Amino acid sequence: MSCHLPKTHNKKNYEKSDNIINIALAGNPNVGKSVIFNQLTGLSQTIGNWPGKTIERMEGSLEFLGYHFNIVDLPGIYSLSTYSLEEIVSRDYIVSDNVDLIVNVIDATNLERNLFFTFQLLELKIPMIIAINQMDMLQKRNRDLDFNKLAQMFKLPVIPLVAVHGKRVHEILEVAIELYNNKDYTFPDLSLLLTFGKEIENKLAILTDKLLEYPDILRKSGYPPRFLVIKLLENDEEIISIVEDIKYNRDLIETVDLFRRNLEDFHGEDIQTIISSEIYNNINKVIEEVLIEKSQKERTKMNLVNWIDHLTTHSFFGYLILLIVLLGTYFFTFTIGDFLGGIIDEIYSALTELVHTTFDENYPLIQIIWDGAGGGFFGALSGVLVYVVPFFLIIEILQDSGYLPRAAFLMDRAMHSLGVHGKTVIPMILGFGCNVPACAGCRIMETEREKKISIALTSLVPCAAVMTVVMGLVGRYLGLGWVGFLFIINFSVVLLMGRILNKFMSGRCTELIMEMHEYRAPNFEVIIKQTWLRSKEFVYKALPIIILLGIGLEILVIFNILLPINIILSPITVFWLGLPIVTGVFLIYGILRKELTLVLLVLFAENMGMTLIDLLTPIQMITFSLVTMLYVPCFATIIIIAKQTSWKYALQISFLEISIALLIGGIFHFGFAIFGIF
Amino acid sequence: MVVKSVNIGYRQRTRLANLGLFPGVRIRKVKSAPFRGPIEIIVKGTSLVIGRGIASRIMVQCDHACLNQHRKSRHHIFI
Repeated sequence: MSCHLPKTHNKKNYEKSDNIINIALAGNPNVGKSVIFNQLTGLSQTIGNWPGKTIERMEGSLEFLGYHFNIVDLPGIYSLSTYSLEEIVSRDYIVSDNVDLIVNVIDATNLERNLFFTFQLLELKIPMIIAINQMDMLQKRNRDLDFNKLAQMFKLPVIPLVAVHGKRVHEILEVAIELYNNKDYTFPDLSLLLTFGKEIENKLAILTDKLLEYPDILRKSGYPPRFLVIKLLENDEEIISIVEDIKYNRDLIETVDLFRRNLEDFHGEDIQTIISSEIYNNINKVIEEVLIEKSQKERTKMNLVNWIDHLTTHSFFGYLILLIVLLGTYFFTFTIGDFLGGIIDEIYSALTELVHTTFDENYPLIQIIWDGAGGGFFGALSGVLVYVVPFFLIIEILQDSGYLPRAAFLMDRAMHSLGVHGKTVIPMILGFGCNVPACAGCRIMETEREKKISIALTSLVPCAAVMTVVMGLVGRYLGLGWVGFLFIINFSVVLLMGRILNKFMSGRCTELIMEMHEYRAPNFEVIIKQTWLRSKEFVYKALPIIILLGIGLEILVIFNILLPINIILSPITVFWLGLPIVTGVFLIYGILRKELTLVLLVLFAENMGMTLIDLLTPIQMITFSLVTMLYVPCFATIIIIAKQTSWKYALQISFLEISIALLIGGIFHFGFAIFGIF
Repeated sequence: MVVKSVNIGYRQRTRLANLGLFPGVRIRKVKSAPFRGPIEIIVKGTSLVIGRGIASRIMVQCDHACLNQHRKSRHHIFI
């Protein structure tokens, strides 16, 4: 667990003489945090990961009025429990020394639920500014907010905004500077706001006193006493484990357990429900004072949006629309991708001509660099990047507009038979085009576990390259019937993989719980910036590795290591799978680009003056296609999986898929032989 | 309708409580996805989607408006 320096939560220590202010943006998902983040940080944003974790971390900075601001956009979360990794990472970060103040972004149209998170944040006693976004949407519903009253009740600066219009966003920074320069700043006493019922507060007081006997707990966690005590009552896993490491903890633990039992008996509910309902009680008191209904009419101009909402979740039209969206995405991605890819291929061919005429075989090193590195680079550009960028664009639009939860709503049931959630349908369908952007798209999953399983299943979806092989081999020589057969096998493997992963992955198979916010027009700037950032990240991370691999393979060719490799692989390729010995290296090349397995096969056949039918028996064609379909995700996909989850997981999945592919391939080979088919 | 009890696992129950769904709270059902899919409800003023498995374990009490709408008895299991 993270170990923090002793931190007094009532006074800021202003030893920093440099004017650097560290801000954390915190709030529910979909409140407009990223719009605000964008406007503040512009092009300085970076996407990375939280250290040691696979959760995204968005950071940026800017100079304003002589101060340097570092801004971290925390993941959108609903509370500060241990429900998800995002919550744990966020709360640890907030109380670390890296944060000077929090900007809590709230959606004015969703006040109750947003304030729940605010109340949790307040217990951490970090200097805070409240930014209320979507004030315009609130007005549209004939409501208004008395934000002065709100500021009074919270004793904190409150800034109403319409973030997409850019108004007043920089006021946040001005207020931040004021707070920063206020040497006597103490976090306000909010007991009026945050107090629970008497029977709870009595116990909290006793426990807080007890906690003073355990300074280690305060020190190790970095949280304020009241927060700790509430979390202890709530059975918070992280804090309980800190307490369990402390000596002489029996008294504390027993008291906590006793109090919890008392409260649960008294209220007839579990402690979580008790605390949550107390908080919502307090929230109601606030809302009564600050929310103004301007007229009796509930909604005026919301009808169009409501109608679209109803249509997209409709039992019939909803699915129709989903189909259109998926096909649209598919065609958009692949039309643009094919077009750009073609251009890049042309450029590469032209340049290759040039290189080969200038440097002939006397310069093997140039050959390695150009064919290997250059080939890898241009191949990655024309074969992968040109699809990745339009796809990222579409995903951002779908996510920002709010369509994704609707798709998840419609497909959840069907997806459950595969062991994933409704949202997975989108990456999986897109996987039919290219697995690389599809797997990257799996980051829209809400929990680690879902992401891992979705990514594994998406990597099994036969992409366009795979289909090239299947159609070019089995489709062409054996007929579409056998193609259909292979698809059925593939689908069964996906089902199987879903079952296996669900059984063996720790964590619960959770049912869907998802907030469905209103549709809104996607914000152009945010989308472009996000697409740019993610594409850039992909280029920096994946491309170098692909190039290196290309060089590696080229070296193998130059130094004639191919035959020995084929011989080494022959127990698998020849004996087990019943394939010609040359296929060994082709399958290795296939890891780089799946269509290479077929391409090389064809080239080899041409070299030998044979046709494919001479080279492979029907059984071999089927086995070869099957193995290509299943055996391993292409290398770019593996990199994306590793980036989204971990290298360990990427390798585990690859290994699992190879095993399944080989197993089934072997069964086919021997099965067909035994049953004398063909 | 008013929530009477939420009989699901601890973690998910906490999650729902954090989102504002716990005994005593007023909710409204909007629609359900076909093929026994998830259900959309209004909680604390905004839309929440929950899986059918969870929904079927939330017991609610109907008031007049919802009695007319659903034609069920006063206490019923959510579907």
